[in-house]
Amino acid sequence: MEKLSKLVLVLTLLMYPLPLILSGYWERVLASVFMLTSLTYAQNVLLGYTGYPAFGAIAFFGVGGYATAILMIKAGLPFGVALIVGGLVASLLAFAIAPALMRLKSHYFAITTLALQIALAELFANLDITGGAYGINLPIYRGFLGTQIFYHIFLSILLGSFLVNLFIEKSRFGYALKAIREDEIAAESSGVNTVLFKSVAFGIMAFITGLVGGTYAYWITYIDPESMFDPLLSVKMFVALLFGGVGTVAGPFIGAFSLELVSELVWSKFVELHGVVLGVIILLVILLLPGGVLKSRSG
Amino acid sequence: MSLLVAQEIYKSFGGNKVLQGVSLEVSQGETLGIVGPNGSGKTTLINVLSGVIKPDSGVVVFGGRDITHWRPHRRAKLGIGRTYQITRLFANLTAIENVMIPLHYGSRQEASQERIEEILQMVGLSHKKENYASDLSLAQRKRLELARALALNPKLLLLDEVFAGLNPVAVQEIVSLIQELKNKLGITIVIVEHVLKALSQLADRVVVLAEGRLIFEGKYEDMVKDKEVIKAYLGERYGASA
Amino acid sequence: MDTGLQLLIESLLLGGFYSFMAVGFALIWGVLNILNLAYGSYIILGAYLSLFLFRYAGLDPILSIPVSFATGFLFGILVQKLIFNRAMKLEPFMVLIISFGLDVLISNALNLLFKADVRSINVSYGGDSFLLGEVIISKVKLLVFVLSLLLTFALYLFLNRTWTGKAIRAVALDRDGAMLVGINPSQIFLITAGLGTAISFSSGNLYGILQGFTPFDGGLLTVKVFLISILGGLGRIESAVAGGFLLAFIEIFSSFYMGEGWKLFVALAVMVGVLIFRPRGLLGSKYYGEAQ
Ligand SMILES: Nc1ncnc2c1ncn2[C@@H]1O[C@H](COP(=O)(O)OP(=O)(O)OP(=O)(O)O)[C@@H](O)[C@H]1O
Ligand SMILES: [Mg+2]
Repeated sequence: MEKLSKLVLVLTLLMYPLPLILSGYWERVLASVFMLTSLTYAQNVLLGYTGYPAFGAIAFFGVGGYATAILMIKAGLPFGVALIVGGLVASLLAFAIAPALMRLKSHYFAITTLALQIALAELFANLDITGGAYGINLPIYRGFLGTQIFYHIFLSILLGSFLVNLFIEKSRFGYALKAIREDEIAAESSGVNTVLFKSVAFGIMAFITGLVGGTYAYWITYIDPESMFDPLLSVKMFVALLFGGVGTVAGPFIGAFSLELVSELVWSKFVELHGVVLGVIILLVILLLPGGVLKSRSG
Repeated sequence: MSLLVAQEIYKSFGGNKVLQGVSLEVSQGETLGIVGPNGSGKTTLINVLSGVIKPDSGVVVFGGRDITHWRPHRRAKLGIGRTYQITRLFANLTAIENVMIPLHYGSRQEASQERIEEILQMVGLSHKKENYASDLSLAQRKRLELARALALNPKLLLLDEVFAGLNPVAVQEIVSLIQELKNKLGITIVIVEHVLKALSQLADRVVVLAEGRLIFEGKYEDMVKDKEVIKAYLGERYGASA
Repeated sequence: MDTGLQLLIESLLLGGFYSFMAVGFALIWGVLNILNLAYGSYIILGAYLSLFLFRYAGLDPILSIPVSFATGFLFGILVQKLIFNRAMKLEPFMVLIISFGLDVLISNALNLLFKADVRSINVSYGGDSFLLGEVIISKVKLLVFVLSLLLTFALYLFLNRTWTGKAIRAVALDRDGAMLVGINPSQIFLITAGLGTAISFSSGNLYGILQGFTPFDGGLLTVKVFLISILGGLGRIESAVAGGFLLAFIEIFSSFYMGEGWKLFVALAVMVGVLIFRPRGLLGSKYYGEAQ
């Protein structure tokens, strides 16, 4: 394992006991950093290794969140079970639409996933089972870990998604994805079943994204279409990924931590300027650092 | 026995009728050359044979199996390897990785380090094995594509203008390499080529494609004397200068 | 009263405006291959500009259309020079993200300046309507409809009759071919960006008298112009017009028969259908996923 990946792994493990000494504020900040990092790792599977920019991937965040909430409220499932099933629902949906959707490339693919995200938001705003525009209230977690539980779940999803990326970087499976990223037609002629592999990559991305959405739903205890299908979240994870370095194992970690910490610092000091600053950050990151801090070739 | 049979292949792009009923057979162990003016449909024919595009009608049979509706990855696993007129390598992967992928996914062989080295050695790229594909020269890229096709352990190789853009020395080296593949490994080869000298050394038999139809089939020596063929080429030349 | 007829008239009136609003977006997409996610915010910028001129200079939003047009033209050229020219060298989807960043920037800057309150431009003729047979027609909507059609027609003439217009269309169809006949694409890109942005700003004036607006309404407008471009297809003005009317019909009829909340979903569902069965859109001359 290369040095940077090891560092990420060690840092991640070191963060498990941190809540013992952290204030509630920093616990929340870090939980949201872990959330963005996991989302970024999920996108790295798809964009970084497979070459498909799912700009509307937050659709699966919403699906995972709503599925988890509905399973808890309507079916009375415990959170853990609801969360896993929620993630599976998101990834099955992704897997089912992938063969048709992934005939599109680049920004056509990107914008079509964004349309999917908006369509789902609209649909959920109108259905009864999703509580329409009012959304759903979830129960408040009162277990022994208190609010720390969300810190730990997000951190574990982060760890899991990091390991998935590490596996892809090194494995046979990962080479199928990289071949698709480099040249899909050549990948086919080399014996790679591209439709299958890219659909699986899409499904993995959706699974992680769905898990994060489900945890987020339980964390904020109240969800509506606006909070679960927020395009700003989409763009944040892409900027984090592009900043850190697409197609590297450490990039998403570096990108998401820097972006979320910076935006948190700005947020707390100048609440009003936050949006403007975020807009400027997006422009600067892409115009000045289109390749990211880390390069995929070094991996 | 025929390893590959294509029957009555038709293909149009919009109103552009590119293949208009092409039929051909390639025997086991044979090397078939395909020549024809620019735009006559040679690459399209290779694309149909390798599954990259679907014909509008017609049948492709390989080793007795109808593979007309098979996707390229299944044909690759069956033993059909190909190269591209404009190379399509995995640009940001190393030479080793470029060969490893078809070994893993196409040939069902163990992608051992030795096997990869052996293939790279065969095409003369051992010294460049750690280089990224995009950093290779044109001749090296063509060799790497050949290596990638060989990693499939192919029964049939489809080569689309491997010599285009190479200097005479490089051409001669690759000609020898292909002769070796043919003689030592007994691979059946279909080769599209503008470089006629190379073709004369390699092809057992030649077909000429013009405007989507086969207008000649036979020995290389007879082709260069054939009236139809000369007309097709001259016509093209006049057309180009008009 | 015949509800169907009333709805039909409403759709026509709205469709005219939608066509004009979307034509700039489609132009930028078709010629520069940029899906500009900030386009909706450009429209809102135009609306605030005309509100400003109305409040402080007493200029009627209809009369200030030329001001918006000129400002938009310059703004478009500036943004193209500062941002998109550099961005266009990157992967197309990076450009998509950049344009989203621009959207975030513009909408939040407007929010800083004007706060998130709903603003409206209360022109004196705002509330009037008249009866035509059994159909009620709002004067403002009719005015906007007529102006939209006139402006769209003027653009049509520009693209089809002038040398610059023809050059723009040539670049849209075939960049390399256009270069061969001596057209300088980077100049055409600038003009197109300016023109498209000018259209968005001007449609902001019309939007502002049709309804109230806030700094964050741009996102929804971007979705609408995108829908219109997919529904109608790309490559010709007629396509945007067809898409504009189609979206208006879908919205008006589905919100009447199914409820206001469903209209966007229905439009998106129709769009998916179009993508599957008619990927060039109703009248498109260019397949929207063609440049693979
Ligand atoms: N994917 C495609 N879409 C549309 N037209 C195509 C496509 N592929 C090939 N064509 C057209 O089909 C015709 C034949 O092309 P093809 O590449 O098969 O010719 P070729 O014989 O290989 O020519 P060359 O000697 O230049 O390589 C050309 O007119 C080309 O423009
Ligand atoms: Mg060719």
